[in-house]
Amino acid sequence: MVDPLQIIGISLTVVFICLIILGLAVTIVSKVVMKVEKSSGKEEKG
Amino acid sequence: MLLPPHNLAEFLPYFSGIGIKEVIMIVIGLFFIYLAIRKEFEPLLLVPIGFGIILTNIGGGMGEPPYGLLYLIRRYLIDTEIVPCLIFLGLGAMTDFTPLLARPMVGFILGAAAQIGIFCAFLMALALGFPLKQAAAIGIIGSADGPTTIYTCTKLAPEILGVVAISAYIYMALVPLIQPPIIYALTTKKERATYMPPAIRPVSKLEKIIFPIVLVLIACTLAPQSTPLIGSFAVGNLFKECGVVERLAESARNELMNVSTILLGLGVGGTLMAENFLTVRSLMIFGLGVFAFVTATIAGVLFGKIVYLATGRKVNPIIGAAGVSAVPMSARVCQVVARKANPRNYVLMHAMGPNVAGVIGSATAAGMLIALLGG
Repeated sequence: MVDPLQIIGISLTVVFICLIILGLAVTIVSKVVMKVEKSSGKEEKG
Repeated sequence: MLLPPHNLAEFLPYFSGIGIKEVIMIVIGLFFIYLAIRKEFEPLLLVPIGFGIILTNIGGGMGEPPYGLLYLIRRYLIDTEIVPCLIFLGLGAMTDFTPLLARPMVGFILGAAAQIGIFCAFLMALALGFPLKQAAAIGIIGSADGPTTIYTCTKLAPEILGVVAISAYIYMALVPLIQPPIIYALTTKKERATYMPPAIRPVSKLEKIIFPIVLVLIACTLAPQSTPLIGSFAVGNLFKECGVVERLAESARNELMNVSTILLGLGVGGTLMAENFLTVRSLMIFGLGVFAFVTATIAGVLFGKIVYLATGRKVNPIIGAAGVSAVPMSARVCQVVARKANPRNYVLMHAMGPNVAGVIGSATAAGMLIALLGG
């Protein structure tokens, strides 16, 4: 018999970890993209 | 010798084999159509569902195996995950992730927090005597996401699909009634009046293109059982954002979405036969549905307060309620409540972040429940 509290604990942990990792990944990607776009903007001006 | 009928209960079967229970179901179907047309309660789903209920209960076997049309729709399009995933594809093609990408950490944390409601309802359903898989299917009503609810229920407890789906869509329509009292109860006027500047960080096209790819890589790795939903969502969003397949994006959010919605509504309505709807357990499921929404809102707002404090009182805690993924109604509720506390406030775009993150959170939660309960 599966323990319901275990199911809840595992599921919620995965949901939070997944979304936090997504948040971090998006933050990093945003910073990289902004840097790339800024430097390509500077190259065009140069 | 055939005796004449003495009362209505004996009279009806002479016409089409329907009894009093079927008549009650037909009235219920008409009531859902009334709610949809007159009160505009989720009309896109409640009109076909209501009519599906009428068709399946009026006799003629439309909802019955092996050849009933509504049964076939359910069997080959819903039970096989096809229609819920196509709806998610259409939703992805309609969703603008800009508010979430502008402030991802706040959005994702609040989107995750609201999913606590799913598990509160799950526990309560277990306490009320529902078996494990049915309790999980009932709990997922708290996701406030129709396709996710239907997808999960089909996998875990198809026998209660109709009631669970109706419960989910009705409460989604009632979000403007359910959420505000909870928000008022859990926040002070000062907190509700927290001003958030209306403008959000500009998000580049490249970020919006990369996001669905990142979403699939991360979410589907951590919760593989959510891949059908999240993958469909992501591909629809990529159609929208890449800019080179505009006709696919148009079809996804219009024709595909509309056809899938019709089939989903009729298929779900077709499951609602008298013998599996007119039971005490159905009433309990309706009660648990509102419990799921209430606890999801409570969890979202409480986490909103944590974020409010953690950010030095810069984030309005109301937007935590938008983690309940009734898009965009929850976000609009937050906007209305915030404006009442501070007429300068415009939190709609900020609330849309957790609102769309909640869709991802609920699909992930659904995937985990399916994985752990062996759906």
